[in-house]
Order: sequence, then structure tokens, then C-alpha cells
Amino acid sequence: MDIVLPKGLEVFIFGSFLYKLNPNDLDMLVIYDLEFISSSEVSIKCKECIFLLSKYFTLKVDVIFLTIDENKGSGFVEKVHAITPRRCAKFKEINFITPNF
Amino acid sequence: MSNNGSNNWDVSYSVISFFERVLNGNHLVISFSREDDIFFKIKKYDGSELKLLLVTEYVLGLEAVLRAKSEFPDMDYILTNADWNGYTKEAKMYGLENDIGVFYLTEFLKALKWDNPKEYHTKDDKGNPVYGYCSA
Repeated sequence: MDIVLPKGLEVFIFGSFLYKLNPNDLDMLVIYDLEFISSSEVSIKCKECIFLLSKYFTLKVDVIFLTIDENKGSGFVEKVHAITPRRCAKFKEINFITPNF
Repeated sequence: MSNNGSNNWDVSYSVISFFERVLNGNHLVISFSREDDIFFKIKKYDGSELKLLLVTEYVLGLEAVLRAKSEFPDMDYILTNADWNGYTKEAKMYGLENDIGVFYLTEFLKALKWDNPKEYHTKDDKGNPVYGYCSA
């Protein structure tokens, strides 16, 4: 399955989805670049992606949105040991595509 | 109209009732009401009223503060419950500049003692501001 992501976004996965056989939800972190997307529109632009993932995994998807600077300042990726979907076996049939325009 | 019972922010009833117990036990709070499940109107002993949105974000970022404000335009406080949750520097700064108090629980309880709780900011031993996502 291909999922188109708006430019300037990076997706990470963390939480029980990574290690539980039957997780209750999918925790996702979206780091966004303010040069490409604003804080007020990022969640709207990700709606379709979230919907598709929720449907694919039949799980509720909880998303945290952080700017690049917010992530650096909080160290959230390191603290929760978030990984990119590419490193998660459950995502092997999902390709995130970012259009080049 | 209270419209309690569900919310779009995945705040569970146990979190809501815990926060209600905290408010009930705080001598600075005279009374409070709850609308839309997670939107609290808190009356302080000095007669002021705080309009607070209760959320449970692990880390409350700028996006969440903006989304909260668009969904609850009257909101002037946002609190991410539990001390292992927190906020980013950017979210706190946005709040300070836009008259929105951004807090985690214990910080909010300290802020209640202030005349203008929104201005309260946790500081380290040297007086430098400490930003929320600090525990864990």
C-alpha cells in the first residue's frame, strides 16, 4: 500500500505497537518542517494518511505532531525510542511517498 | 448544556475524574463546572475564572495548542494531565505570547497560587525557565 505524505514530514512509530502482538493503538509521531507546512494545517494534511493506517491495522492511531525544533528540544524520539516505519516489520507492505514538487 | 460523556482528545473518564478530585481537594478552587467532557470552568477564591482544557498528550506541542484553541475558542488554559506528560518550549512560549496558560499538572497547581496563573513558569535553581517535557 502506498501512502502519500505531504512534503516536509517525517513519520515515526513508538509505543506498544512495536512490541505487542495485539496492541490497543498505534502511536505515531509526525515531525514537520515549518518551511513546508504550518502548525495549524499539519493535522489536516495528515488526515488521509491517518485514516489509511487506521483502516489497514484496524487500530486507533494516536498522533503527536512536533516541529523539528520541538523534537530537538524535547528529545522525544530518543525518550520514547521511536523508530521509522521502515524499521518496523509490521509496516513492510506500506510505502510512504513524498511527492517531489 | 454540558454535553459530557465523550471527547475528541481521547481523555478517559478516569483522567477526568482524577482531575475533578484534585480540584475538589484544592483550597484555592471555590467551584468548577465541566462542559464538552474536558472543558473546565474553574472559579478561584479571588473570583477569577479559568477556562481550562484537559488533555493527555505525552508532549503538548504547538500544533496541539493551536488545534485546542480552534476547537475551544474560549480556552485560556490547557493542561496535559500527569507529570510524566509535558509540553514543548514552543508551546509554552506561544501560550505566554497569546494569553494561554500551558501547563502540566503539578505546575498548574503551583500556578493557581498566582494572581495571574498564566504567567507562572517552572524555573530551575538558577532561575532559568524549565520546559515541560522534562520527566520520564
